[in-house]
Amino acid sequence: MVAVQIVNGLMEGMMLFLIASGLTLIFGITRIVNFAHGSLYMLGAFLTYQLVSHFAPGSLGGFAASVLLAALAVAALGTLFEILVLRRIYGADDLMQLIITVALVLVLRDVVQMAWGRNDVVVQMPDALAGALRIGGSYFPVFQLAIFGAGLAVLAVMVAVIRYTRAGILLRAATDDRGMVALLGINQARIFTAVFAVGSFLAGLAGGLASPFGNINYLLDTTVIVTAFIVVVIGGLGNLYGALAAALAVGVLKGLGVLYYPRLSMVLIFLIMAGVLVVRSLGRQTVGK
Amino acid sequence: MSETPLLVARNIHKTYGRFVALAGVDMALARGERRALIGPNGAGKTTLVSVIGGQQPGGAGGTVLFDGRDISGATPQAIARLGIGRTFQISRTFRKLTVLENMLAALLGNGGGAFALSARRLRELRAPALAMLREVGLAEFAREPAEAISHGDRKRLEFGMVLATRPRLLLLDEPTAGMGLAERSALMEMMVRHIAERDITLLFVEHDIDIVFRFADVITVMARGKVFAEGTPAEIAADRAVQDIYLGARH
Repeated sequence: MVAVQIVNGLMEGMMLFLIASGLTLIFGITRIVNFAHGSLYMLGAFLTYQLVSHFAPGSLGGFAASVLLAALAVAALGTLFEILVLRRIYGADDLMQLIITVALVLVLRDVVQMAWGRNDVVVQMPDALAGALRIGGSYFPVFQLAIFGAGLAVLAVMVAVIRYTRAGILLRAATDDRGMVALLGINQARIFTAVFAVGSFLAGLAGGLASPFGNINYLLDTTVIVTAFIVVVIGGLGNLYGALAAALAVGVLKGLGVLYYPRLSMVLIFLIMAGVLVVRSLGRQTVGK
Repeated sequence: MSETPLLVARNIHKTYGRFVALAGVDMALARGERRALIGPNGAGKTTLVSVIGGQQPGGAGGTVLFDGRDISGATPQAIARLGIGRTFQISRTFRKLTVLENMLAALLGNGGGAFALSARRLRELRAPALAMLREVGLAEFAREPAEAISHGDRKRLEFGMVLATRPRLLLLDEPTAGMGLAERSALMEMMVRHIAERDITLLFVEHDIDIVFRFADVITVMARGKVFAEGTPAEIAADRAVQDIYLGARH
């Protein structure tokens, strides 16, 4: 039972990582705290729900294609938003940025309600991923394992791009000192747009991948964004690997928390975040002395 | 052939609230010239360098012409692409990246393909990046994070990176600040050798008068946001007024 909950937690953690990675990348480079990131996740889930119905019910290929198309559509929307709106407010103060991204949250929530209503929708799990796998006496749901694997694959691609490509060096350099990147003659606006596109894609992808797991409704945005922010804060703003560790830890803790202290599992995560913040601020004080 | 100056600054002024940082500065740099900018603290030297580099928030009054083209108000990125490079009083590198990765990042600015997603396109840059590191004497630190190397080595790295962007005009803001005497001279010699090899025009802010007299062709003395005197090192050394306000303070 514990092992199964850990696997569940790892899957949820991996999805959390996909969401949080986009959020932390976007913050690390543009310094924008994108409250609409959870809405992009929600949109990815609803679009997957919509697209899946065009394929044979329960087909794995149909599900995969739907998730990918949904993620691409979400990426396109995010890119458009960056170019048309965010680009005008990079210099503005934090409050302005907050208002603009929260505005997108409200708009997307209304759009989702108009398109899909206020009731829960359910994405059917692909037949090939239904059922359980017997490993060492316990049964593990295949779907969770598959989603975890898909998350790992995305992670591997991200790490490879970041470590071994020009775009990766550029990304790390811009996270370190974006003003300096401009001094090297590189187009900052293009970096911002690219990062926003990738971050939105990851949010949409996570929403699509996780869609058969649990209900989808128009309130998903806030649930997701709160947890994603906790992960980003625990991992360190702008820190991708920190976000990975934090996401997996939060996922597993939530999974185990459900088992032992169902009412406390979310409280526990807030406590961890508070603890991390306190420890970090203590560290800063001693360094300052 | 009478060449036009590479850089012309006309009537540059800049105020911060009621503080006048630059009160109408005129300056022209000939091609290949090495110009030192000296003056007491608060004279406006760094502000002037920032105006030329396009890094003055809110812009500044006046006109800057680079190679005959008006670059006043252009973005730092556009100015960098035209061929003006700069370094900072406190050296600016990507501190979390390794020394080699810093140089790779600097090389991305040249030509296209900075967003390329293939490992091969990055590998293409390794040889030129290592070559540039050798030129500034940092090849052995290639794998170190930039934040782990010494202050002087970081200055070398910053210089190498700006050199990699192939500038025609270099703005160095106190290139030898915070270094020991022997190190200063070696660093400046290295920089000037590369600058001369590449026909780069140099404008540098410097407090060390010995360095200024040794390496500058022309010296501009600034005081209170204005050009106070301008001339060859010999002329400046003989200028009584300059001695009184600036050089004299040392004796």
